[in-house]
Amino acid sequence: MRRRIRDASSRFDPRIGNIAMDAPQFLAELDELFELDPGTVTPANVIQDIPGWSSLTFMGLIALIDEECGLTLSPDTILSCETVADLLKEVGLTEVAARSQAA
Amino acid sequence: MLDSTALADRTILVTGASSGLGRAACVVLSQLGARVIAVGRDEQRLTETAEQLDGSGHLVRPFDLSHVDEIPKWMKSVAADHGALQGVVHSAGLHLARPLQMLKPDAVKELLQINVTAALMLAKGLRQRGVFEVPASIVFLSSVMGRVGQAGVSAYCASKGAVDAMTRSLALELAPQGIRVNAVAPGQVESEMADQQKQTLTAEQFDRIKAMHPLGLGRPEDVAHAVAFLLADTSRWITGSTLTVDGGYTIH
Repeated sequence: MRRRIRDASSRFDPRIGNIAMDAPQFLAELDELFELDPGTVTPANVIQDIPGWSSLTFMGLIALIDEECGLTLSPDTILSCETVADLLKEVGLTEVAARSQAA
Repeated sequence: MLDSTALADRTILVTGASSGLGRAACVVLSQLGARVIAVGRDEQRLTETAEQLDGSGHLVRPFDLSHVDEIPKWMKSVAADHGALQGVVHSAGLHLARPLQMLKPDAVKELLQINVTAALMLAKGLRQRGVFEVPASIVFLSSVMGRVGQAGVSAYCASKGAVDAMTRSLALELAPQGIRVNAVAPGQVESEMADQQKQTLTAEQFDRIKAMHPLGLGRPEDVAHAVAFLLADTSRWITGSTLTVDGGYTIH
């Protein structure tokens, strides 16, 4: 069960690991957003090179981070992330990402 | 002419009064002599609005408009407590930017509930005996998005198109009772909702939107003055219309 954190008072905090989802789930959501086969998007992907990248999928990515991670990231912050791994780090899924990559 | 007595002795209920356009409307209406009933969910923020108002006798009535079933009954109690209303401004509204692959029915329902259903229930509430007093006027906050399209904003656009359409029908239905119904369709205004929209746009995208407004972005009071005009007797022969207040956005 995914936990959605919408209340500003209980904002996601990477230090205490209060996360709404893990990295594999986040990657699966990206597959769905970009309408790619499951398992297509990996942390190594350059975000803007993902097939289907457009201003609309960008809008969807902002919504995804808001709805699933309970985070409001500015569009420019998201654009500053080059790879999916950078984005995972920005949304606080680094450690889980490292685990999922190791596995 | 709109002067400081244009809305004297009128009691006007304003939804979405805790921020943005609703708060600006409350301020302008109070400057024109109206007694304002400020409605929103957050009592603290409504009180902050009340502190900015001219004159006295203004009221704060916290209410969650998503409880649409309760709106007519609640309006009856408002009128019973504070007297009949001569105006309603529905400024509460939700915005949603989602491409179709991210659009969920629940989010659409939530948006339509506030932007459309609550508007209809406010009209239903006002027309009840004892709740309104003529001359009465309803003003809905529409948007230029009710007329032009924007990719990824289809649910919001649908809700504002619905507001424009319901304005015409309600105007016909309520004219016999002496209630006028109009809408104001703003372009991009510097407000809390605009700040929220900015969260979904890059600086470059926002600059492009700004450039599409020949007169630049609007201020909340630009919209509030149009709302005041539609509430006052200056517009006594206007009903069923949507007044565009957009700095030229839709004339392209």
